[in-house]
Amino acid sequence: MIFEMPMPSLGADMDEAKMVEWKIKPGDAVKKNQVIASVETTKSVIDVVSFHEGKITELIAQIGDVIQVGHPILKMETAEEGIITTPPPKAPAKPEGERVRISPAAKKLAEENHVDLSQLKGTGSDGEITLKDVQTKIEVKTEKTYSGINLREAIAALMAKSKKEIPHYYLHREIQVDTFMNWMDEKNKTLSIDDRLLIPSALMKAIVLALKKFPQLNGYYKNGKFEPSNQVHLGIAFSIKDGGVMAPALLNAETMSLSDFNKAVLSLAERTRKGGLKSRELSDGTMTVTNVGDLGSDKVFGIIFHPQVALVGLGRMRKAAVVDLENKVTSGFVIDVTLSADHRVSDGLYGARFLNEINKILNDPKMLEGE
Amino acid sequence: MRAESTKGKTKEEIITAMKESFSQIAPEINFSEIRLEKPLRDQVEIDSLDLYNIINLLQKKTNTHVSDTQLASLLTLNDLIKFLSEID
Repeated sequence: MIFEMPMPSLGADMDEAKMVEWKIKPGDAVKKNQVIASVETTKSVIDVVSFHEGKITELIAQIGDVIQVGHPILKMETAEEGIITTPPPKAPAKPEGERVRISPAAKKLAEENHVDLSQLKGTGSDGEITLKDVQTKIEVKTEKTYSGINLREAIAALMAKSKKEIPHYYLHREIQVDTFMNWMDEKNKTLSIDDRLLIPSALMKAIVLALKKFPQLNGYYKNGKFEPSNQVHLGIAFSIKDGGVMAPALLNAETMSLSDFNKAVLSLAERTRKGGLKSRELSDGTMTVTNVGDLGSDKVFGIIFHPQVALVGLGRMRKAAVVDLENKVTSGFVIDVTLSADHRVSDGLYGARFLNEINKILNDPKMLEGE
Repeated sequence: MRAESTKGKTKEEIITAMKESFSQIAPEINFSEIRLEKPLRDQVEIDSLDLYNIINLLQKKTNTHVSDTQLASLLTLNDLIKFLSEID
């Protein structure tokens, strides 16, 4: 059958995207999950993957076109059955006269600043109105950008939505990690420098293992109900060199060995900063971790990334006074772990048990090598 | 895996290796502006992944092994230089 593939939604607040590159052409055979195009959204340039296997028959979207989510971008011949095609959402009525060609980022800025697009002459290809055209009109300085798009505005919108809609509760636990650190030292002595395990990776692996036992913290809250996820797609917050934060997901983290997880974290970090993230990595996170210890903060009570239902914060690993079972005071390594969670889905007791589980794993680190 | 001794490597040689490591991993940081005697994290914004890559590269250049426990106790670059110069 001939199937029209629509522009997928690559984020909770994505309505449209601009086609910037096709990576296939008519006649090509494609496999499921093969990258077929790059599109520009208000957040970034993202790779689009094919959801089906087949042969490309026609590229409907042209380079530079802005396509709404749900509207077709290509035609494909496939032998797969049971593909459900829904009609694209009705496009809003266009005003009479010439169609305005404008990039998504420029359109967003223009709407927010009440710029009359009919008064603008675009300087992009084929008269497209660019972000710079809108900026020049309203004499706005952009803040730090990533791939030419205002990431700060995208973050602001997402965080405001989360804070407004999600009833957060917060928990904190200080975890002694001497046993964990000693185990890491011994483990890393056996590995080459290039294969060394990172402390943040091992801490995040402990979180993934704990999440498998606490499913109410792993999934999405959509349409008034919680949808738990069988997979753990762990969102990891990375700082971007030009400013801002991105939190792509490490997909299927629950299936990975500690060594593979460590390599996947490094790969994700590099691709976040240099480009090359896949669309699912930006849209499918089931829970996110943020590490503020890097910058010296002891703890963070973060805002959950909508539509997820939990966020774990890792603080600075530091030396602190610890009291042992014989009431002797010594010094040891500790780290503050925090949990922000959606009270519609879980409660404080559940969250406290989750933090207990992380504590248990870090104090019996060989559990990190389990999957 | 036993590291070769860095005894015999001067402070200047270790600093040169540090400078090269910073330059490769975090070129946006001006190494010459870093005060060796002050805590590194108070002077530059650097996340754990970049720092880890810098330390790994430094270890390769100086043929040393610094454990995580040791690293967590080293706050300044002088601490790290002293540590590397005294490895047996």
